[in-house]
Amino acid sequence: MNSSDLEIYELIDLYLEEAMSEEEKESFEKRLEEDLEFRSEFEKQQELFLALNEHASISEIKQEVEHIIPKVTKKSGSSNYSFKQLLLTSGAVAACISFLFLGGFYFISSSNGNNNGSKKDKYLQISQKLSDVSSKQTDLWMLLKSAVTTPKEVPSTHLGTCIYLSDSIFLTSKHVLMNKNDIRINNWSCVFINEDSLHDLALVKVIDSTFINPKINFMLNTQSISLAQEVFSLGYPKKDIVYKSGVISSNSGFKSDTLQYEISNDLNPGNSGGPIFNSLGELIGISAGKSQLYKGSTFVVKSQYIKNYLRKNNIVLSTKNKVKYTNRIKQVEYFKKGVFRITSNADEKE
Amino acid sequence: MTHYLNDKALLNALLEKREDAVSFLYKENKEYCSKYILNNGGSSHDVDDIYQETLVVFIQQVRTKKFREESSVKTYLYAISRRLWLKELSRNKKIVYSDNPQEDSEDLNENEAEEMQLMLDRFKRLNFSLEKLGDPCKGIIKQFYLLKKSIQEIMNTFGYNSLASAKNQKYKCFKRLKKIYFKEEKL
Repeated sequence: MNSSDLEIYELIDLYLEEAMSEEEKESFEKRLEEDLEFRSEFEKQQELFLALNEHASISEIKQEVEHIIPKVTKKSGSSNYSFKQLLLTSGAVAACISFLFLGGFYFISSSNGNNNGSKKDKYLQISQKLSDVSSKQTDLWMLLKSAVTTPKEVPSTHLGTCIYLSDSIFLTSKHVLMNKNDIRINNWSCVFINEDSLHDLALVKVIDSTFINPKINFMLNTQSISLAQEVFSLGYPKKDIVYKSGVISSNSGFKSDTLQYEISNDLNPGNSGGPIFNSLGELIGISAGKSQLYKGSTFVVKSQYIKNYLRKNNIVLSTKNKVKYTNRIKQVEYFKKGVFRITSNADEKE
Repeated sequence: MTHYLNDKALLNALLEKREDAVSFLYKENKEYCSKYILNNGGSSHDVDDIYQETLVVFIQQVRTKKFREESSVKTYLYAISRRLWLKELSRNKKIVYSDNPQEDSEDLNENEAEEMQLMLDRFKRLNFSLEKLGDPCKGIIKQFYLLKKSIQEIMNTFGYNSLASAKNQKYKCFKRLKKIYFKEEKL
């Protein structure tokens, strides 16, 4: 390292801090006029110094403004009723028998007093419960036979979708992770980090040496979620990624759950944990469930809660939108790199 | 919500860092400021972005006593948001349909507008550079320049043996930060 560089740096620092005597200042300013190289060095350091000096107060203001935005833009929430409360109070979790034939999904019974309509609608978590051998027909048949005789011994795999955040960390739906000790993303092994049960969110980390962090940033938009806004989704209801488009059809979720909102995309089991984007390609939610009764109502966790959850975990998504002015095909091509299939093998004992 | 009857009261409350003042400022002027953006190719999302930056710039102006109160808060905010949106458009090489540069010359002069834009750029660029810098340099720079800690304290916090080595490390970090800050193209 060149020691004279250090001297120059310290000299300029002294000047900028206004810690020089009049004489020193004079000779310093004289040098500025004469020595062009010194001058250019000075100007750079001066700008950076200025940036550093104002940084603290601007950060503070930015936080103040960001802090009040959700409060002043919030639509007057009518009820705090959440489907999770329903989950907790509802009776039994009904087992799904159809999965043997359809690779079906399990659902949550909602047969308690909260049901005031004549029709009984049900909230379906759109993770997918599959046998891990279902791709082969013979194996499926074997499974079917064994399942009929000893259903409790069938190990089953729950499928869902997850998105890459940063440093090997992924976000998904909590309910996808049936067995926290056995989670895989593609074929990489993962560890469970933590979960937010109320909002059905969870973080997992890939601990596989063959995993390479994809170069992708999801940008979270927590401000504009309005009715009729166009949205699109990505997810893994099958081995290949599936794209679907739709619109925001309601500001609340299942039975007016205010933690979620509803989109018209008809998503299928396996989509749980998958991203929902607005037309600018900004992440505005994570799909979580759907109505059993009505087609084309999928429930999405609001991005505000995703932001809060990530903030608690010190994860901040970049605010740089690289795909704002590109077309949909380019957007999907870009985000595809950050959307993965996640599996969790249910405990055999359960 | 607290209602501020006049600019004077609002400005004082902003200086006192009162949360309700920020809320009031936000609510009162959003619709007015969004008009220009919406009429010139902006989406409601652009409005959110630009308006947020407008408020940050404005409050910074107020707190550094640069807002001279020659115009009302409302027209001043409008002028800032308009400027920021024009800049955004020119950055993305979008066509501006209707622009009259004279329109806000009274509320916001050329130099002021330029200075605000530069300030925002510096802020974003520094944020970006600090992120890229990584630890421990990011920590050292923050401690020294942002939190105004002394070299002595940095020596203790980061476990350096002498003042000289702490100083040296600080210099190295600054040099790296400078390199990143001036290397990156426009954000």
